[in-house]
Amino acid sequence: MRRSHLFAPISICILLSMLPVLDCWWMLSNDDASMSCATVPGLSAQQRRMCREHPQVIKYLVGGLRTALYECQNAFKTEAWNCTLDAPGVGTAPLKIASKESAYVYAISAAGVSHALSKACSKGLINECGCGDHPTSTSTLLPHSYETKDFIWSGCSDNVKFGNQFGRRFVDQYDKQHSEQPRSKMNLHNNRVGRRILTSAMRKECKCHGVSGSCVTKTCWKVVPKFDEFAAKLLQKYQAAQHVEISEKDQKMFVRRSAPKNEQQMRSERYLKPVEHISKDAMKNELIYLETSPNYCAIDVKDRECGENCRQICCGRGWRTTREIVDEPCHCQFVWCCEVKCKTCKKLQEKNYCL
Amino acid sequence: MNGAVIENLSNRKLFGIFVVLLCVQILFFLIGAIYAPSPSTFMEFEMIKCHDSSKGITNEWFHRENCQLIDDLSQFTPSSFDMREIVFVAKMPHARDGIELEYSPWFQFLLGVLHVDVEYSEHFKYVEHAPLSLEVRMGYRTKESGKNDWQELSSTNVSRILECSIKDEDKKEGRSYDCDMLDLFEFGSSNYPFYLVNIRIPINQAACRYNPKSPNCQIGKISELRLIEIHQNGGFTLIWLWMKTLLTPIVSGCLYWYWRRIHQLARNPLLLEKAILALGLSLAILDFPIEWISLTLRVPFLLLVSDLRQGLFYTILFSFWLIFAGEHLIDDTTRNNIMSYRFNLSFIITASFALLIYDLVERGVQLYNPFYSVWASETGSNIAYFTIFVGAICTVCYFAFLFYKIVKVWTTIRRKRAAQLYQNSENRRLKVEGVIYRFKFLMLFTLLCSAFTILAYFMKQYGEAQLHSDDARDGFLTGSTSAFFTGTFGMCNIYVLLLLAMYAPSHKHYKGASQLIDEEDDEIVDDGTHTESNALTTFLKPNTD
Repeated sequence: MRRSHLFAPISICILLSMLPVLDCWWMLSNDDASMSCATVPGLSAQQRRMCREHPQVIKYLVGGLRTALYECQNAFKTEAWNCTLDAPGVGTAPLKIASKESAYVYAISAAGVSHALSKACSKGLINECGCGDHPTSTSTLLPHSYETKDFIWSGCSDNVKFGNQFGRRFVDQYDKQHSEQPRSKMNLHNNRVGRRILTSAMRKECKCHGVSGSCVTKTCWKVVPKFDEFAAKLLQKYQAAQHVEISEKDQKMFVRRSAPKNEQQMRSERYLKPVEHISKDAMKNELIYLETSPNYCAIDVKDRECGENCRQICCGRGWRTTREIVDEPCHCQFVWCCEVKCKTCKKLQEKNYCL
Repeated sequence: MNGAVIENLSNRKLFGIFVVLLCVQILFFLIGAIYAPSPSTFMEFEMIKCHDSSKGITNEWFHRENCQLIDDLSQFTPSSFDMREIVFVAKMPHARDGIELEYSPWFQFLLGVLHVDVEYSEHFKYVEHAPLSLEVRMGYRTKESGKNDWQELSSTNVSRILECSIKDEDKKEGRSYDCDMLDLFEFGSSNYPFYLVNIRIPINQAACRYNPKSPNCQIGKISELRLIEIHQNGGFTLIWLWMKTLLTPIVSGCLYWYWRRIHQLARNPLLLEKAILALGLSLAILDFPIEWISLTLRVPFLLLVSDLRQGLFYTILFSFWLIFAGEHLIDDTTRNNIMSYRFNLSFIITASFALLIYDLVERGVQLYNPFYSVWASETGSNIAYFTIFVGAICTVCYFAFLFYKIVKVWTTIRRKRAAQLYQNSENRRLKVEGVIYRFKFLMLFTLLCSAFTILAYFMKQYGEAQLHSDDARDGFLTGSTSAFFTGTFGMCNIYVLLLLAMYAPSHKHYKGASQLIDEEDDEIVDDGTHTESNALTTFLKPNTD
């Protein structure tokens, strides 16, 4: 599988354990098979309990987390910060800083968990998946046992809600307990945004099955998007992330605008609107952050492959180009699904590395 | 000379009847909106991929417990070239909340739609209209049998055409095609609690080399198969069945009453009276709750039967409208003879017949092979397109003729009124005015019902859109789909019942008309009506005074 090997084990939790603000369930994304619920450091008591009680679910949760971080690295591969969570040189772990980048990582992880769990639910790999909210069943007339009655009465067609619910309970656990802290507020908001964008990126499909196949009777369902499609959407949200401030008194968030351009913005500066108020229209689907990003150029980028974007990634330190002749498959013939018969061609390949 | 009941009803009574019927109608809507769940529901199965090293030689069933899971097909290296060692597996239904759910006979039907996810790939090229061939095995097990003791229900080769498209800017490795879903199966009954689907997509390399248009040679890089299973909600079935069960005696009783009225007449029944009787009969057939037997017996033909019943009802309803309009052409001497309608009726008959053929081909063949789809083969889809086309054309022609006829009736009415030709004979005048009144009443009532149906339909569309918007919330209109079905069903019944009651021959005579037949006033008409204004007379007042 592409994701499991590409995401190198990181010792983020050891780093993070020094930082009291952050939880470190990310440790789960380590590619260590021997890791069990008991040995992952940094899990809270409740998370550890959930991990023990739902080992099946945790397995897919971890998979989702890995996919999320893989997509993150993919999205940022042309930036100085390439989604490393333990970049040395910034002074502290990037996630410690309540920056735009942290906002993105939190959102994509939360969504990754939801995505993986809903996929596993629709594959029937997790028995604990739920049915979503039910219209109150009045099925006393149906001669069936209590358990299956709701299913017979009105079906059970939801896969996403379980993913979101479990994700909320597990991922948001630490921040919920510390919800008075500005950072936790930000994390919770961004997690929610990630899940919400995932839900709204779902595609609707319908099947008509009325008399003679007419559309008088029609059943519709929603398809969970591919995760890379969702990640592309979230990247746009990252670019439009809102810088907010948290007031000390009443713990409410205010949008910070750097340079008010017109009168209306001046006014909104004067009468700061709490996020709760704005959230209905503007903030509900926007990522928020509290601090400006650190200078990622402090990251050691020596020998990093920088492709086409070397000026930015190498932060002016210059780069070198290597040229080599590589063998490449070409004139391929296709045989479904898993075989390609190819000839080998030689090709000159250029690669750029930061100095 | 007797008129219909409608002509002898007082305004107050008519108004009372309308209020009561409106209440009943609202009740039908409310039952659907509040009590019933949505008519149908789905369950999504993303098929898991298992490795079968025996390549399908053994008759083994693959399920989650014995599955050597292949997580990502592109990482899998098969040992043979025919790909039969990859098995796509779905067990229906899923377990939920830790409980093994089961299908129930209450679901009435089960249908499966297959969605093929094709990834764009430079090497594995998808070619448009690629023929796809699936080896499908469907198994079932009962509650009594062991956990993985699957019995074969059906084993077949399914051929479909895979239609996919992709935007040019998306043509990158790993991006997905947008593929049309494929009808996989349709069961007219749901009698087993658990099903297991095993699908293989075999490739014959030699055939592919010889003819790239052979099945499965051009289907591209398949990454997933998703199966969507759709069934009717048990709750909806329950309410639907009870509604039918309660309506059947009412409709039958009314029908019997109408039939007796006609037989008590001294003359032979008119064509119009026969048409109303036929309409009542088709409604009684439509209402008859035969579905109860599906809860105990395995009767897959019920889906077809219910289609046929609906078809019959609509055919007779449409014919009735035509006859009704025709019979109200006052001066037409060809009236009261079904043969004079043969040209117009032939449109309805042809349309119904075309749709009957389509239904018999699609659902009829599905009785023998649930995986059959008329759309899968080229001849089949040509036949299907042809029948639907013929049906549509005939329906359009029918409505054009009906409209023409109605306009003709209106102009006749206007002309008669203007000429006041019948003023000299009181009896004749009343008769003509009675005809006009009867026509207008039904016309208005039909229009009202159509308006109601259209309104309900838009409500349903709106409610469905709400349900599937980004923030799905249980709102007021989320039960609108069921409300639409119960409401329109109720309205069908009310419409026909009112016709039966109102257009039955009355025992009462026109006031002021010379009495040709001596008969006692019957029990329906009580005293006091003489002081009230009669619906007919008030209706006619502005015209006759």
